[in-house]
Amino acid sequence: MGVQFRTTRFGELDLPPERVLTFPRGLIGFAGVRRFVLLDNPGGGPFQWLQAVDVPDLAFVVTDPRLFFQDYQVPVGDEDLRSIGIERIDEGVVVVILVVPHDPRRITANLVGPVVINLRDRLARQFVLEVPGYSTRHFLFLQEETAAAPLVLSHRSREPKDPC
Amino acid sequence: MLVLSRGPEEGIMIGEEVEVRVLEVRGDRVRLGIVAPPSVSVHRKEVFLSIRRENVAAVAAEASSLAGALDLLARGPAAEPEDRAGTGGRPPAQSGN
Repeated sequence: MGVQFRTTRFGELDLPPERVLTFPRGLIGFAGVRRFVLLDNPGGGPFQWLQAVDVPDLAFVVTDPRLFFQDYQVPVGDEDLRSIGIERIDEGVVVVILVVPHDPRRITANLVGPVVINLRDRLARQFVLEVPGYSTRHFLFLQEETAAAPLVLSHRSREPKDPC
Repeated sequence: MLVLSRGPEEGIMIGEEVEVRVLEVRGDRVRLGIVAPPSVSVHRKEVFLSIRRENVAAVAAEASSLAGALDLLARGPAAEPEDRAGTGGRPPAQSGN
């Protein structure tokens, strides 16, 4: 039997149990919501949706940060990795959560709070990175890198300007 | 909220494994030392709050904007309206390794 649940954005879903990811600590600010599924964006592209199984209207757009920020690193300690059943970061899938406003040029990625998913054991967790320069609101497309703090990353979606 | 007065080199224990120690008080700044097992994550509160704020904002995603985002990706880098960025553009969504 599949896991059947209702969603606001995607209607009724019926997915195999192995598609369900467990966030033992929830997401930051949503600690009580533990079960999510990762859905491909219906319109395609490098976007996916992290949809809560138990809260129909709770869904986040996520993407692979390395598609946009080639140098993005996720320095997470061994003990934190073990909390989701992996030993090395490259055993997991890293996604970042996007804020998607009406104007697509103003889409931002939260590089400070990446989500690491252990697909093998279907465990996931949002980590807090204390990396100087990483912003919670990094633009995917706009050339101003962020509305908040400066960020030191090479950005795939912009042409190299004068080296600083 | 439990309120305790502590001075330099004094501390508190939270449970049996987490220690918070006052290292230095200077003006309006307090330097704290925290001893906690690796399984306990310790972060500055404002970092935690900023992630929470973005998570909350992310729930209200405008799904229709993603179609526009795909257009921006297809157009390639430096998304100026008049900048056609080459013919066909390179696919930015590839080669993430």
